[in-house]
Amino acid sequence: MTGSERPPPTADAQGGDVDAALLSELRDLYVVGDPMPPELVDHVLFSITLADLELEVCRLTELAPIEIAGARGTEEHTVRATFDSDPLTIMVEWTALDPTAVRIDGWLAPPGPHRVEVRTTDRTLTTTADAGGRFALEQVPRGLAQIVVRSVEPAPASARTVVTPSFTL
Amino acid sequence: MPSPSSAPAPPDRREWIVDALSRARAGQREALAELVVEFSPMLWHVARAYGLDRATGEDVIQTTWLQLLSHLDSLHNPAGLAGWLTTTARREALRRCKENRRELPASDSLSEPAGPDPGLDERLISDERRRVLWESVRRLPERCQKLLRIVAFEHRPHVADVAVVLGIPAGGVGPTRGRCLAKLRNLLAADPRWAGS
Repeated sequence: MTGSERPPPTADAQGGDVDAALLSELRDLYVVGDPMPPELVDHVLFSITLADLELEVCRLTELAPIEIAGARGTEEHTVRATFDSDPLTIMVEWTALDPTAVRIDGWLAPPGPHRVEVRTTDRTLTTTADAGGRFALEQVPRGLAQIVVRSVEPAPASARTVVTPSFTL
Repeated sequence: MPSPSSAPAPPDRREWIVDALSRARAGQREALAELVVEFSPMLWHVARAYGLDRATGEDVIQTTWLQLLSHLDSLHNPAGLAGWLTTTARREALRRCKENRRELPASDSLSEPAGPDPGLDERLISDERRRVLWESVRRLPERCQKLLRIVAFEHRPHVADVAVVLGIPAGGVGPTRGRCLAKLRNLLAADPRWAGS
């Protein structure tokens, strides 16, 4: 950009400069006062450590604790998460087994005998959904997790791997 | 703690982005990680500016990077990566705003005070000038607070998307921006600590 082609600054342009300076101070205010959570980059790096590039992102649409009354009046603490994408909806519920592990019960819709992987920071647990789309995994380590669903052969050539963002069990 | 950014300042920045992206396409995961470290803070502020709480903001940023992974080979303009990521994060944020709006009763009052999430942690603001600025921002209508936070991070925000977030017609975004900035300038001008700092 050359200066000679520009009109001389008008009162408006000067007002614009004042606004630009103020917006820049506002930006600094939020950068300082609302920093990105320090663990976020690690969570992102965990969730993109996938070999597949042909993937379909399954967005988190619901994450909430649910109360289930136990047999003898005890209450189990269960959390339900729902992930949505065009080809597939994944619903999972997890219940603490002990301080280090949870049991996961899940459903795929539309149902299909797909391969379901639950990736955690130390290992990947794999199972296959039944014809009704249900799957379950015992002894899943608590902490960061991600669900990856792959179509089982014979899958259409266009079938993409469905992947959730990471979440904390 | 994530490693600090390795990106150079302009004018080499563009070249650095194109190179990192091409290494990422070749399967070098470290290159992708460098981009994540570089651009996630910017995406965080985009997501937060569109009114998302912190947990939803984190989720939107993860989704944005997964989207990049799935579009790694089809990105036409590597130098425009920052714009692509910002647009994707904004679209994801907007989607979440619409979902939340279906669940929560809409607030349509211009003068209503901001909700329980003030947008930043006041304990982190130790600088006197920033404290004064924040006090003035807090006195603005919620709609102004939202709009100014968006334009502080996006010089030319997507007007139609901003209109959806603010609940106003697209044609009202420009005038509202002007009015909100004027209100903020007036509040600051009336504060002796601002002129003195």
